Amino acid sequence: MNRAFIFTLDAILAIILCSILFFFTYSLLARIQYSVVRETILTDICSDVLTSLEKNHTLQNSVYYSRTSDMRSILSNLSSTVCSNIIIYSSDNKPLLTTTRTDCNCTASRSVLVRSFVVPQTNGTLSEYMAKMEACYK
Amino acid sequence: MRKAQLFSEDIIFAIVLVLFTFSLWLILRDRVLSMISAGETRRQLDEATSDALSQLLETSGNPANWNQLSTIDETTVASIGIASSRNTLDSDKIDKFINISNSEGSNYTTIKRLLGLDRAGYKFNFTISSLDGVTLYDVSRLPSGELGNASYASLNTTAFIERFALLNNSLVKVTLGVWIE
Repeated sequence: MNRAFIFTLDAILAIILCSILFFFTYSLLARIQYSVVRETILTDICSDVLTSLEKNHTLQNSVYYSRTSDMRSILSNLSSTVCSNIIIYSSDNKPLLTTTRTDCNCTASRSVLVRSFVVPQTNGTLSEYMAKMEACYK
Repeated sequence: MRKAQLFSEDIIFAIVLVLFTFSLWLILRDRVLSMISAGETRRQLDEATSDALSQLLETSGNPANWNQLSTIDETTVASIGIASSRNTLDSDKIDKFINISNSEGSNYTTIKRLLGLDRAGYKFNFTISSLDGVTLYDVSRLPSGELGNASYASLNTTAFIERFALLNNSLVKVTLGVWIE
């Protein structure tokens, strides 16, 4: 056997392995996303929507009249890249109303926010409810 | 075997191998460094935009009557916000904010500083629109050489954040765009 034969095979193998490692690392780095606030923004959007819907009495009216049309109208006009739904629970955690944005499928992780609110009853008492909003990117 | 044969084949081949591996490492190192740098720039931009928009929508500013002051600068105002309470917008404050931001020169720079967007080269625009897309207020600035939001929203030197708030009891979309020029 030629003396240099083993060395050459080893070297070629090393080059191949090195090249594979290089291209694998390079392709991995190319796929990294820069944005770091995408998930935080989803939580902010949930907070904004629930706070606003409580302040303009949409949540309270939805419970009072047992209707979801107002909430559905707002969810369908949110950002085109965000899927979302709102579920209203009674104080004993029973779901009362559910509204989901149609034609929308999540492709990433969800953000969930729960906000409690009260609805005045005809006898003057206040009933507590919870609104849970989930949001995710398409 | 002649005496020089080992040097001329094995050593030269080894040198070529080392040079090849070294050049791969150099290329990879440059790529990693540029990605770290771009990621850090992007992170700062995203955080500055998110913080500025939170400040605008969730606070009334300091002092709360900043929109009624005759002079608005860093000595009279500590921070600006356009809400009367969290997520409820005040139309007087919006008017003042839009007027100052749309004026040229030091007023725009002052607003940037008060929003925490005072890094070199940062510029911003701002829009309030109804949920069906009608623009109600806007700070009409665009990055030089670009035509509109859609064309530069995906660039790594541009951050666009949408939030929601109440204006006159209706839900509106508030967008802040910040870019580096």
